[in-house]
Amino acid sequence: MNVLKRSTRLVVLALLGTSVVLGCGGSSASGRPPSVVAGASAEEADATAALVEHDRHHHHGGVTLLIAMSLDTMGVAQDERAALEKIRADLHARMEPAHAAERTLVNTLADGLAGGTLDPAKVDAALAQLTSAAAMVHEASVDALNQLHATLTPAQRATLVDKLEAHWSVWQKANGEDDDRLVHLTAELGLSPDQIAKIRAGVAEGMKAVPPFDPQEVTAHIHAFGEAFRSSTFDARTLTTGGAATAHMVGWGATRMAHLFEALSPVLTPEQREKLVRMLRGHASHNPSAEGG
Amino acid sequence: MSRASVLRVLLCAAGLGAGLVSNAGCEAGVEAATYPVVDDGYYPAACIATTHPIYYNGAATYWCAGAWYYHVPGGRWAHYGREPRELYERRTRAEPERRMYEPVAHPPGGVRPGGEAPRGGGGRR
Repeated sequence: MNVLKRSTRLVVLALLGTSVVLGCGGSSASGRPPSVVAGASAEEADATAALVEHDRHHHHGGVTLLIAMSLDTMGVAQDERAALEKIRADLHARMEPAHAAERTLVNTLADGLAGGTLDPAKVDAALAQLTSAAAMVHEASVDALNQLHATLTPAQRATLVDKLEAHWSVWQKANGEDDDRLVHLTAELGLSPDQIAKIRAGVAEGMKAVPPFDPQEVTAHIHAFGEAFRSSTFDARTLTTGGAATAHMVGWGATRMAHLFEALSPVLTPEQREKLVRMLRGHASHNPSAEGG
Repeated sequence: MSRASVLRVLLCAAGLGAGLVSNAGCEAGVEAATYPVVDDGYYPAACIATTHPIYYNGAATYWCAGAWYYHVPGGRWAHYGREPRELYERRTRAEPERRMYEPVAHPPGGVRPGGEAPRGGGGRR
């Protein structure tokens, strides 16, 4: 009898075990998920290219800008969106002085390109103004960041930190690889191989005087922010590295952008110059990340 | 009944319970245990940054390069080796929303500027 009972139990367990393995997984005949799906869709590739393009021209808020951008795609329910939108708008308001300084820099570059000569003194002054404004962004944003923490659930806080890290990864790629940027400009302006070689040499020459970018400073701040933000209690005031990290990131990204345009200026044809000036003024006149998703 | 028999009965009960829960889970969408997780070191940063996640089994999950990615313990990103039914149904009802930060021009020839290199190898399930 005991043997029979044990055998019965084993059969039941075996059947149930099989059902555990086979029972799930969309294995019904209808609506079965495909076993093979191709790579990135065109929409995904476009969204990636658009983000890279954005990151090359809009630096002003540094890490705070990346946090605000992270709020664009949180996947929250419709009834939670209004609260996040309010905080997102608040963060952009706190970044406005730095954004205004960035507009000045980009317009200075566009004016110089349009006239055929970039004034280094004007460009340097605009860069200094932007870096100085960027250094204040974190401190200006602490209340909004604290409110953001209070608004999000633990899972949403983790999502925000994931997105911030992802934005930082993309930003480094967008601002660290001249070849990618030149590929983009070649496509936009129809640059010749000779022009590309001259631009590359010009950027290398211009960047000689610029200290190399140390991403560790920003990475360390983002890591500290992430650790703190995932916790149940959070106070952005205790993060003391935000101002310096943002100033470093914004200053370097904007300097690299300025040197690229300084290298471009002498080699462009009138048509290419006109198109590039139009593109630059377009970037100066809008703030796509502030416009909401 | 000996202590060993009691233990066996308890294990059977646990197994029975697990089986029932699992089968019920198929209907309810609690099904992660049946999907292999693949960690191949790929990090679809731009996709994570621009795509609205779907919260699945308590984690934000992203439809990137033809697979569902999520953050696994240890700071890495992995994807489901086979598409969970619930996620499949969600994405076939509506493709996950993505944020476009700038207008993108498509130059002749279809070369897309910037961005991540596409993953090689096509399908991975």
